[in-house]
Amino acid sequence: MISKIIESCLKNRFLVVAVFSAIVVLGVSSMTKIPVDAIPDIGELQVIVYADWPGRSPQDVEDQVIYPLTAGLMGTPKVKVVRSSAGFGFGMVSMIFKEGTDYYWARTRVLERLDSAKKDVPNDVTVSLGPDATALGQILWYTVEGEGYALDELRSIQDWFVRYQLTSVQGVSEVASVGGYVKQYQVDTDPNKLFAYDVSLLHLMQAIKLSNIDVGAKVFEEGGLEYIVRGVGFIKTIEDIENIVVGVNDGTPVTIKDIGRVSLGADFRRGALDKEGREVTGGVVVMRYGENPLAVIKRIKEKITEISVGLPEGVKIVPFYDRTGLINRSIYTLKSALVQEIIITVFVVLVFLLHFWGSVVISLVLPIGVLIAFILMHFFGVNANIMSLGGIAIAIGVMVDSGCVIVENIYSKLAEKTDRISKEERLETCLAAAKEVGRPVLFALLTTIVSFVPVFVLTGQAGKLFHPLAYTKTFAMAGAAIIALTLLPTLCYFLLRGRIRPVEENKVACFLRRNYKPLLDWSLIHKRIIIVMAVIVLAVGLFLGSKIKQEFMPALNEGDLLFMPVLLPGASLTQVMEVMQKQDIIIKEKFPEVERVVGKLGRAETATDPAPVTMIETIISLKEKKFWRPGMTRDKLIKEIQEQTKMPGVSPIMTQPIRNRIDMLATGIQTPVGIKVFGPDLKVIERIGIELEGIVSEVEGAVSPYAERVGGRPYFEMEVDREQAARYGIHVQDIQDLIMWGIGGMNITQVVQGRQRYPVRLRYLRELRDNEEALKRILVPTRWPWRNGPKPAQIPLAQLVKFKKVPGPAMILSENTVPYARVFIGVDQSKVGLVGFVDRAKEKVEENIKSGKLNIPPGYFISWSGQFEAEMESRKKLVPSMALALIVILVLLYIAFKNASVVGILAAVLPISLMGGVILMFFLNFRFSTAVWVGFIALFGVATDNAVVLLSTMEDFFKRRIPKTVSDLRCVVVAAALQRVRPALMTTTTTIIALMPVMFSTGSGSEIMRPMAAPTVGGLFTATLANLVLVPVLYAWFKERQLTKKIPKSRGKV
Amino acid sequence: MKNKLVYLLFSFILIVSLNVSGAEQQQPNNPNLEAVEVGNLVCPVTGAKIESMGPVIKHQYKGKIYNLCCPGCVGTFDKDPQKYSAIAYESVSSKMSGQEMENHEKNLKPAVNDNGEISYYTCGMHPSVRVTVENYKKGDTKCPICFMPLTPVKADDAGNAEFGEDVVSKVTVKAEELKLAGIKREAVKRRILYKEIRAVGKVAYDPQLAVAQDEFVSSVKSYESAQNGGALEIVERARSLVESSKRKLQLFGLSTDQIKLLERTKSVQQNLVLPEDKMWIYGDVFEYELNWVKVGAYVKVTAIGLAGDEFYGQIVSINPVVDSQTRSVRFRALVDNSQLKLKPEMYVDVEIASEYTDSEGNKNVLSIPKTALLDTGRRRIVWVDKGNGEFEGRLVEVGPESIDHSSSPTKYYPVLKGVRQGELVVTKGNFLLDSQSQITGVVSSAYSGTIGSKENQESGSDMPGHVH
Repeated sequence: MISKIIESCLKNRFLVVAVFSAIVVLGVSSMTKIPVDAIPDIGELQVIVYADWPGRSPQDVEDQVIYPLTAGLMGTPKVKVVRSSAGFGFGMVSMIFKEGTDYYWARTRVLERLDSAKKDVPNDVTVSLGPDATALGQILWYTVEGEGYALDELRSIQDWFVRYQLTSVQGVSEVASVGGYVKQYQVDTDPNKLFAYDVSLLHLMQAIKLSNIDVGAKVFEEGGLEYIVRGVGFIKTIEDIENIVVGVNDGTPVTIKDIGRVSLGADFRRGALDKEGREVTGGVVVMRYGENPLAVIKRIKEKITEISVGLPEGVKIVPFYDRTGLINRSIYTLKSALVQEIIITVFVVLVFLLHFWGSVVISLVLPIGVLIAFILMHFFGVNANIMSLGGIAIAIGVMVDSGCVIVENIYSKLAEKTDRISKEERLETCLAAAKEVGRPVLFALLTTIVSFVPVFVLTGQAGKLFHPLAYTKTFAMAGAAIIALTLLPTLCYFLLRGRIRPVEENKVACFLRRNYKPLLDWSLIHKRIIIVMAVIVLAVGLFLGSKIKQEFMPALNEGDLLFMPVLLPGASLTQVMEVMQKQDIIIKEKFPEVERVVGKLGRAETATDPAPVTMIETIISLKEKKFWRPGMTRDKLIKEIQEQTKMPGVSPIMTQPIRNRIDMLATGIQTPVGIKVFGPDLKVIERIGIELEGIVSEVEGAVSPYAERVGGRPYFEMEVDREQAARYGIHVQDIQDLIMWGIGGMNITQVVQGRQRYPVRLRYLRELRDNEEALKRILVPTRWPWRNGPKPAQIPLAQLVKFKKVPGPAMILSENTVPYARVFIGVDQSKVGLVGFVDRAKEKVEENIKSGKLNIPPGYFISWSGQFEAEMESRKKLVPSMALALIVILVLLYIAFKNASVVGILAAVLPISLMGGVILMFFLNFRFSTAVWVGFIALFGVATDNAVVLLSTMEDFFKRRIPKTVSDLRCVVVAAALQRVRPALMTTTTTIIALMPVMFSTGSGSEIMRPMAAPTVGGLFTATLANLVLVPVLYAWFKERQLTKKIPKSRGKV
Repeated sequence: MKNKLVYLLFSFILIVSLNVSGAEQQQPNNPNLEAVEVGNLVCPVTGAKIESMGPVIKHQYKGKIYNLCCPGCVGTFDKDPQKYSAIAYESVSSKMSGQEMENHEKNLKPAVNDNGEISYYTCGMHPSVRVTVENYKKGDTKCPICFMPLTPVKADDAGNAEFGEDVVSKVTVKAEELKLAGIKREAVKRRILYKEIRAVGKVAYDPQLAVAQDEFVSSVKSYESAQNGGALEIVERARSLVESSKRKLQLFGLSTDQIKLLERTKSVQQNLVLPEDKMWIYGDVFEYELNWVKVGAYVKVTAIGLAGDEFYGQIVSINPVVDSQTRSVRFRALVDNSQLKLKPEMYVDVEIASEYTDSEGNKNVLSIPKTALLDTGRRRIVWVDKGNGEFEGRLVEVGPESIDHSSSPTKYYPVLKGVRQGELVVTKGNFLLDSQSQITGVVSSAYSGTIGSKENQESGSDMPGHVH
């Protein structure tokens, strides 16, 4: 079949060229269309339901909003798990869908459910669906700045102009505001005056509500004209509010200005933004799911330039974080690596072949192969990012292999002919030569693809990271094979004209052969030394391998830093703000490497940002490396910043923006093992958790078990004393309304100013409600006149409620409606296996429950989870599939050779090549990570290639000439090996050298690519030595034993 | 040939393994820093408080660092270093008991402890996470909860757990960190404190009382004239008239003194119905506040209609009965109204300041600023500056929130137990210190959770925090 394909291609040469020209055009257009991002989106497929309930405690939000919502949302189709968190004033339900679910389908299902679930939550809760974006959706942050503008003015510009303009950009899901103040009309009233004028707070509230309305009254006609009739009554100024009448006192109207103060102020806020010590306002642009970030950012920036003209004098929009830089840097790193790879490969091929057009033909495989990979990526919806382009990068060296084999064969065959041959003859020769190696080429492709199957079965984060890589590598390999089999023979026909120098005249080939022959001869005599050396390499590899540490993924250098000082849950906004501003000033002033520092505390107003007020996220943009102080490194800079900004009680965590976003939205347990304690009462689950902490720490291999402490935030509780309330005839609601409106304040209505809306808020005067003493004196009117008096009595809060300061939860997490606390357990995996550890720990816990030491009341339960689940799952899949892949490869080999001992030799060579990778890793100080494993899997596919070709050549030679004596046998082996030395070295050299640009790359993305390339580079080095020396030695040994069995006499010669 | 190759190979392996072991041994050397802070708070040369004349001058002598108040003192100090160093030491030790002195000597630390030994690693976000150095070296470098890199806690930061009973935790903070955190301190001292109560009131317009007073005055007059020569019967009737009108006045809320005064002066108070230079204010306080409303307490009156004007006076009497309609108790205060601005029936706000006295009746009580107290509802903690960057969290007992009018900020708590006079308590940044104590986690402190706090306390006796 392959022969037929090759034949028909060679016969329809112009059609082939035309088809490939079309492919090139298609490829280039695909390349420009593919969405580009820095890393694959590894977030889970989640739909967030966001509930806003201003001013409410986490406990209230959990009990009254999150629980009923979650209960209603349970049972949505294709949902894996429903997680929720209740914070201060808001709650979030994350519905995690099964992988592969259509995102918008999932959102529609959630909406359907939400409709009925909403009925069970209080009326004043705003429930909405989060933006259609994932954790990586926050692509651009900006500040809105202007000399001489107040923060509330800038916030108004942001809220009512910039935000809507940027939301209109194609691909933007949401633009959320952060920092500054929302302008608010504040009515502050004095309870004493309310008492004196006999006005209740409720009454005051209604009065304001009733004084803010515009109406329409159709039309009237006059003199043939039609007038539209309007009733104008919106509140426009502070005076309008001041003059609202709230009652009558002996005939004179009582207005708001008599009983309170009206002013413009700032709405309650849970977030702030700071630029180098100066408070600013700004926003974050959230990109729609599945869009092309690079393109969206570009459009946003264009829009910003466009709308900047319309901004008030001196106001400007300054982006302070966007991913373009990172994306461009990563793509640049890979692009330059790719280009360098291609150039180097062409050069290597040229050196080996010493024929210009031959090299050109082989080199054409690379660009066209890459373009084919892009077409397939576009077709299968694989984004361009570090991982997917990395897949192509590690494929480059291998891609030319098939081309090399075919072209080299055609070249050699043509060289055998006389100087001038006819066209037909040349065609025949090309065809024959191509057919000859067609099968091995396809075979090599198959082994490469099969060997990559284990990567496809990876699940979870690792799967999401490496699938793109596995896809693109396979695409590129397939592309290369297609080109090698269809286009190359045709091109060879066109381009390999004139005199073709035979191999003997090729100086490189001669040089190789001259040096290789004595080495091989020596080795064949001293087989034992070679084998001992192989065993030593194996032993050294294993020894060094055991020293290498493990990690999940090498961290990607994102360029920008995210400084994340965190205070304990009790800290107030003012306190956190002070910390943030001081640190920002220091970072900006003391470090010339820093371009810009913008800090955010608390939340931006988007469902993708659940940060509490006590968390600061400061984005530090660094200057280009050349502007750095000499000797300064990234790590050193991080350390110095942490050192310089150290403050008591503040933890200086340094991370990176994207990494952090993923961590923030991924709730769950990241330790290898974790226990979730579920149950209705937070105190009980906390107790069980702490007891489990003690139990588990006794299990061998447990490292720092830690039970989460749920409480940690000070609460000030006012508990209604029902007896007292009853005594005065006061309902609980009367008291609670006062607490909510008077103490907490409430937005009653909106001032409509053209496009802008500002809330009107009613509250008691600040100093009358901001401390315990003042709260005591807040007056509650009785429901009816007390003992037939002329007016209701007013009872102070102190006589109606009990004041308590108690610690309470800062955030309540639950899963499938049940609250939980987590116990995190690290495991020393050098001592015990994860699975075994979990079994023993479970047993221990069971024992304790049985003996009654651990009391788990009814309604409470524990569940084991953590990375070990994922690890077990991926191990369950990875190990058998790796074994299966190995078996399939070996079976394929067996089918090809029909000779078990040859397959045995190959199986013996494989570990040696793996050890090469391990040794190199050790010296480069890399850790075992999933990236490295993928590198090894890639090595798997190519390590045996040369051995296969070499063995098949030797088999061929033996078929042609059956040796009689041992020396004769060795001659045959040497002859076969000498014939393969040039192509073998050519393919491995191209692969190794092609990976050098990746190995020596330093830009963004190199952190992931280098560990991935290392096993192949190191492995191929030992593999080549093994292939060229060990394989002939083993083969000769094995043949000699066969021979000596037949002719026992010749034994003495060994 | 064969041997050579084997030899070569082994030597290669040897070199490799040597390199490996060499790499492992590379650890930072601890430079031997001897300089020790003496931590004197008073300049040995001038006797002035450190930092009272500008930033502290650290002067090194014989491996010890002495605090001086100004650069000029350096020269003087160097002229007779032995004498001044002794003074400095004395100033430190005189403040301490023998045992404390011993501890202080023990606690003297190298001034620079950047290279201090790491005692364990912790996560900033989850301070109760502890990872021992061995486990950290084994690769346990991330927080088990959030997966962020752990931060080392140096032995010097970790503090030690040998405190007295009321000390809940201790932290040591470097000078530059303190500055950055904006830590402010104030000395515990004795103050005269007032308890302040806000009430509403009216400028009295009380014709009824005026009439009652009139009745009383005329009954007293007629009683007196009857005594001067009336029949016994008439005297008796006049006396009972005096008694009944006196009871009426009592029910109106006049105190016995007031009535006696009225009896003596025999003049009806016109200010009950007309503006005069002294006006009566009728105010209402609630039952729960009665404790703090005493005759003689000062009042400050502001009128709603008279923004900016303040009127001062004293409470003269308190009604003996709670008003059944308003559930409040009426008090009467007489305030100055020299400009006749206050008019009867005006609504006024009344601030009552009554002197706070401790259980023994002392007015001058030990107090701490309100901001110094961290209150969990369960425990009240104050951070005390022990000098040298050391801070101590103490459990305190305090009285009600009160006011010292002479200082600013004005809010104070009288301290019943926990701190001594002259000790410096942290009034700003104490939350940060408290958090730090949880991160370095010596026993426990303010906000460590409902059960957590108790747990920590119990385990704290034998094991600071929970190091695994």
